[in-house]
Amino acid sequence: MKVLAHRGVHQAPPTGPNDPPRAPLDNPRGPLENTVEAFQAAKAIGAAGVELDVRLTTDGVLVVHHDPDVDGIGPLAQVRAAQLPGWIPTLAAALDACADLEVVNVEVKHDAPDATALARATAEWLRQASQRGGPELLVSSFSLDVLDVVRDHAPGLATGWLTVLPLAADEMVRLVVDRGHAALHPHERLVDGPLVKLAHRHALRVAAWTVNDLGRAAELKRLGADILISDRPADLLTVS
Amino acid sequence: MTADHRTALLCDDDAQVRGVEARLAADAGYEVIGEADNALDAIQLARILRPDVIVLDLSMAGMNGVEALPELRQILPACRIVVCTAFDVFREQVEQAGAAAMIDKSCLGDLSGVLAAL
Repeated sequence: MKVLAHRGVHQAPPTGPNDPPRAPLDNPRGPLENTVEAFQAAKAIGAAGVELDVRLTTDGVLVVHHDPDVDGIGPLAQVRAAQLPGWIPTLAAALDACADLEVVNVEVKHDAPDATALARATAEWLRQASQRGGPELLVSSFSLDVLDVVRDHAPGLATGWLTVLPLAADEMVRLVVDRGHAALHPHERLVDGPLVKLAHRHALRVAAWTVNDLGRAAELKRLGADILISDRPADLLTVS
Repeated sequence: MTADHRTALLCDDDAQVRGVEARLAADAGYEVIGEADNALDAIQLARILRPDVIVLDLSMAGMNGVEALPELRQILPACRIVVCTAFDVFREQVEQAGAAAMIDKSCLGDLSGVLAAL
């Protein structure tokens, strides 16, 4: 079982008045999420890899940022890469920071204004990056349509479906298998033994997110989940 | 709203209704990326999924749709919320809270056209 640091090993993101309470993080005073420093910190704690989010600027640069907007700047898709603050890395800089990791999970944000263009650009860029060696690249998205674009443009890349849909295990697995994807990324609450077994029977990996409870992490490990994505990767590495 | 690819979150405490809504949303060109059987889960999923559209039931146990609507609007101001209910008496409240449309559950088939027109 591999533990991936969710957006790197980072401090708690700012919370809004309506946000639910957050789980304690490994590194409350550490770097911001989705930054070069957060990815470097993942290696330092011994995580197998990181999960990060990719978006496209108006001048076609792939950058790593979770939200569609950048505080104080506006919609990321409407600004040029040069206008972004320095802490938002390009995908290239992020992958450089991840060079020594085993796995990098790149989430293509389905809520981008042109998600198809983002998927196409990401697929093309990662296809070329994968030919240069480095960590295994795993592309995920909540949108199967977006994931299909990645599959079509970079058939060699592993793709995994992020989902919160409460589907029966066979339906979930069938959707992914029929569309030629390699992994299932269900919300951790959706993962149970039959789902993992069925996924493995179809050669799909199971990557559960976001696993911040150590007891649940131990259970998911026992069930055979292949990857756990967590805001507490250092703590999860202690789970046996 | 994403030009080429639109996503939907469905919230209704009846799984069968969500199933019909999912089919109608797909007919209108939406990819359904989330379902919730209560308003609190819908709010949580809205934060994670940032859908283009939320189809929201009003009468649910716990927090009802009328209470959830302003919160959803606050979290995702650009998201269009279509209220789908059997209770027309809430129409004024729903419209004031900023719903994009309200349809009668007895005419659920209209959902596809309403979503397509958004």
